[in-house]
Amino acid sequence: MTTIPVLTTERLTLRGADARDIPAMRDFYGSDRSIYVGGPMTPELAWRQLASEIGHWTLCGYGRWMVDLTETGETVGNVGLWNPAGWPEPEIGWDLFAGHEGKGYATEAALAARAYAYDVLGWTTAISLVKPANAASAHVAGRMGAWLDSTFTHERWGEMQIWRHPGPDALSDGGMEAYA
Amino acid sequence: MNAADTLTTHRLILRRPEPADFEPFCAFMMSDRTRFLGGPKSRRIAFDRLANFAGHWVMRGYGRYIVTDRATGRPLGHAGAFQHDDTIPPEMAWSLWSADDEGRGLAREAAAETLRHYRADLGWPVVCARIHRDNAGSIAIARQLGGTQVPHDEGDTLRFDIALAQRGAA
Repeated sequence: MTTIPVLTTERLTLRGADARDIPAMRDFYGSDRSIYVGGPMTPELAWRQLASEIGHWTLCGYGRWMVDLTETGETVGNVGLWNPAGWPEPEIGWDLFAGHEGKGYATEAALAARAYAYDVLGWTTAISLVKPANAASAHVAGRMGAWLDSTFTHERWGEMQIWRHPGPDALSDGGMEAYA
Repeated sequence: MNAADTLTTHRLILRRPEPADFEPFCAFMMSDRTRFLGGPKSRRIAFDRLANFAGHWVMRGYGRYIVTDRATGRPLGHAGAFQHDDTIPPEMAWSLWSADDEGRGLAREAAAETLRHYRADLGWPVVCARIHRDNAGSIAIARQLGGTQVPHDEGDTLRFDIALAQRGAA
């Protein structure tokens, strides 16, 4: 059983998911906000999705976190590291819940996830998969310094853009400053 | 109260899912052995399913056990309760991943131990099993475990309820 680490940023706390997150995930995956990540889906499938996200930690030793506002405890999204069977390579992903757009939370949380991947897990590269029509997500990738690298066709999700992140060496050379 | 992480029988150790379970579980999911479970399934779905088993433990405090050979540690299958649908009782599974391990009562031994634990330690009143009508081997196990068929309107799937309070599990 994997213990999921807690990460903190200036405004956010990233923590492992559990049963308390069912309503938020049900709402997100029940809404049009999830059209780029496999939704909308039924409450039962949203439950299964959350269970699979938690179990990804067990199988891979890393995974996704729920993102809370540290000050209020409110959960604003779901961000993290993802590489299930069928994925092209390890990915950094982000989902932002309704009402929390435009504040930079996705970028702030995803930067923390990327730093964890590079500094703790030793990843030498990372990608983010973005559905071609998902401009908001592409914008986050761009803010993180990632560039459009290639495309990938998933057996279920169809065509996705592969955005390539700057590697740990590029970031340690000061490249991070440009994107912070 | 959460279920025990590990259960031990004469021949088996039942434990929570681990990374090394993926390849044998995937071989099972991609094989003809899942024909009564909606399979065969892809490697992608096999990963999602095993991740689901592991995450269910965190969300519910119980879940599918991986059934391993007590002597060698080799994973043989999975057994135990699962619940996605709150309108029916927790739903059991008892699957052996390889045909080579059939015929020795291992699936029944594993399932019976989980039922003993659910009844004696957790006080659960009832579990169910949903089984394809042509899956004679699994139906036989359900009956041996004390299951009785109940009306269930779902195509070729039969439902057996196993009352834990009134009858012995094995």
